[in-house]
Amino acid sequence: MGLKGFILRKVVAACLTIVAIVCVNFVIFRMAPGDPVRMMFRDPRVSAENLQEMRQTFGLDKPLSGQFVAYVKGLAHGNLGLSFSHRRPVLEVIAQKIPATLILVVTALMIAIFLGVALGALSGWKSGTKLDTFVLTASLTMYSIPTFALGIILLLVFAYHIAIFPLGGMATPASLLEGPELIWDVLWHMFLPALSIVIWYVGEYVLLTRSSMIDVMGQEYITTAYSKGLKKFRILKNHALRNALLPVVTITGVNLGFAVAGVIEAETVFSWPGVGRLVYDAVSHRDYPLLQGVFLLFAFSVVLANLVIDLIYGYIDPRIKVST
Amino acid sequence: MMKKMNKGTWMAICLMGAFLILFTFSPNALAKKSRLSVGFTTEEALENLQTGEAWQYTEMGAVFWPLVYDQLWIMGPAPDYEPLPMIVERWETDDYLTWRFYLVKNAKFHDGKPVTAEDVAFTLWYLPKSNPAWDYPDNDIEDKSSIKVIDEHTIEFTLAAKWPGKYPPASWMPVLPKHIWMPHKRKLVNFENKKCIGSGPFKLKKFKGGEYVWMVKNKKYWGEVPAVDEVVFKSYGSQDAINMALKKGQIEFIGYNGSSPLSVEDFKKTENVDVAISPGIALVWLGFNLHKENAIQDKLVRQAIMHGIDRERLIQMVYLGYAKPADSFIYPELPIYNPNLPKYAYNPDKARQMLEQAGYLDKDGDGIRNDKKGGQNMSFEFLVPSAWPDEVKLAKVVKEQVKDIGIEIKLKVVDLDTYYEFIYTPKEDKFDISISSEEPGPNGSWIWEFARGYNNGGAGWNQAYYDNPEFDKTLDAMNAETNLEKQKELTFKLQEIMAADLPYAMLVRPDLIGPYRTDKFEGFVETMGGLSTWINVWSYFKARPIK
Repeated sequence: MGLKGFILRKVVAACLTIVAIVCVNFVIFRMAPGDPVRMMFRDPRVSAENLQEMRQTFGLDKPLSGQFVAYVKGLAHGNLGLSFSHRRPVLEVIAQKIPATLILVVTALMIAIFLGVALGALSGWKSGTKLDTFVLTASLTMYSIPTFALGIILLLVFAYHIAIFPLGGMATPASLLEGPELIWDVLWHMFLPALSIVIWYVGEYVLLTRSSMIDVMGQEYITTAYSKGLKKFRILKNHALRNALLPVVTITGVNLGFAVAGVIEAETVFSWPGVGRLVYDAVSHRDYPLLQGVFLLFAFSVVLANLVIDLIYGYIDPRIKVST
Repeated sequence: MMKKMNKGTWMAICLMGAFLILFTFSPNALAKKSRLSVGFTTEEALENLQTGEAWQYTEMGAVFWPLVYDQLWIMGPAPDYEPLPMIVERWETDDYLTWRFYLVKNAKFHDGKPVTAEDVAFTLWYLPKSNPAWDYPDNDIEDKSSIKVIDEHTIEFTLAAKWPGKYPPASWMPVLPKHIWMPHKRKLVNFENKKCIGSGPFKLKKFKGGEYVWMVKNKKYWGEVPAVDEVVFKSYGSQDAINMALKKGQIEFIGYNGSSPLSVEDFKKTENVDVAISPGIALVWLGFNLHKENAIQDKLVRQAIMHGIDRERLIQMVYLGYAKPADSFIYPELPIYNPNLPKYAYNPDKARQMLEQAGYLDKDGDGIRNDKKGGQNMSFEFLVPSAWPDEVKLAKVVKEQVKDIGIEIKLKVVDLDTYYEFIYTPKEDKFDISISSEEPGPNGSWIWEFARGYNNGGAGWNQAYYDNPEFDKTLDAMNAETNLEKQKELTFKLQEIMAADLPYAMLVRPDLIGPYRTDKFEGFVETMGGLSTWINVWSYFKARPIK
């Protein structure tokens, strides 16, 4: 199968996954106990007419099959429906929150990948030394601290005791900052939440890169490279690290998607106004359209990231194209 | 020489002018504005400016709109909680059915348009009919013709039922500008209301959903202009973050619900921080589902459960001593509180004896009594919302305590929305006992609707499925009684019936732990519930910078 066939197969698989997710997405939230329309009313004296009006507004007066058809039709037109709790189009609600999450996740993940791969490669390269022991212990520790606890500790140390960072939010509340000042302010606010994500992910990348590096270092082509008299750094860069990176690339694809969904805790602790908080509220309000929209976004980002990884995998490792 | 001197003088003047301009517009100069910052958790924060339930049931919303919108009248501060005119000069009624309010003549909305009786009429008719509704017994008007605009500043309306008592009707209701809301009258709740034009003492400057609300004082306010220049409601990710913000001076006090009893000693040691321990506004009680066919339907079982609960121990274990035992929907400091109610003192021996005598015995020797009707274990599902950590703890302690009298409790911890859906549909039998909490406030006659029988128009709030015609009759009589002394007697009787029947078993009234900064502002007003609640926005009106 040629490159075109390989790409086509991967794209079709991704599309099928999305279709499956759309169906599961629709069913799964409706299995939760409780009537979402009743939940829109904190005042229990709501009249039957008002309940019915609300059901009609949100299309919940139709049978499940009718709701599903309307949902799929809406999706085909790029319409994710109307949020129960926000009373606004889901797309608009998500679009308002997604930039904050993306800024946080992409920045944190990039730093984590860079640091994790560098430290992991170094640790694997210097396997068995004191440096390796130190990096390994530190990474295991970082990887095992719950994000929530880590967030609180960071707040306590850096925002309260040393007081060099803010206690939360994305920018200084009630300020009229603009331009570079605003960018600086956002970066200042982002430092701690990003650090909490970096600390968690860097441990993962170090452990993965290190173990992959140790595997590669035992391969015959590394011995050959040594026997050819190549310089150590060149062997590390061109022979060892490139091969050791394959599993790292795979996990990065998965992480990119999961990170968007996984920042809920960091966003909660640091009151970062992103999608994570939105999910929490949507779950508690049984906001089906919003949940469907957000989870579709999460699923789409995981599938897309994996598709991209699959495609570039073929470039990084020619054996994959051959085997397909 | 003269020429040179002139040049120098001019240069000096220019330099001084430049400094003056720089100083005037520098951040330091801007910082001189007095800003009262108040902290909320992100869960309590407003996500949008739409009216409706967000204003009524989110903590930030309930304090926000009374700053930006005027009300006809407002609850006065403690200890008397008198009804005080807000945007009206006075009100009058002859029969407690038809009410006439006289508006102040110089009130204007933030956009400069005058506040008139037309605005009040619009609000009175359309706000209670929005969906979800802003609907209370004291703004129940059956038809539009019952609202009459007498002149530009006089409005008269006739209620569906008499509203006698200390407080006039149409309480806690924003006066909306008709010229802005009219196009949205059928769907008031959907109106985005981005500018939030009201006529209140503060104006909205900037709003970021879930993050902050920035208000500035309305310098052209028709009444007493606030002393603080700005009020900012900030949201924080956790209670810990709020506590840290307070200690660091980033906020002056906590916007709602105060802090945990665990933090009291810590705050007392903090420089420039004082702690107001106020009587709570929230009451916590057990709600018994009397619809479900089991032993809970037996009044004696409910009474035995109450004797099996050690409320003093509950208060020590859950609230670290910062709570008082409760026995009525009415707060003890109010004149309508009946001091002679049964107290259900902790007495497990008596509880066991009551159950034995009534035939609830442990027949199979498993430590749990058996229902005398079906023989099944007296095991009850106890519904608690996960969002109320203190009440979850309380439920766990109650579970252990009633185990001693041979009753098993199974905790059913659910999210808050599911909890509300379950408790307000007792006929669906999704719980046996629930923990409940409300904030009736001093003007809390609406709370009695929680016990009005389903056969007497009492659906909705009656989460116990309680049905007692004598209670309903007394409630109707109390609502119609215009003589305050007689009305008080009837309120006493309602309390007696409820304390005897126990559809709801009152447990505790948690104190409000309200830490506040003392270094920048003074004049905060403390009422039941602390410095800032839906009945108390006086702290914002009365706070002033310390000179």
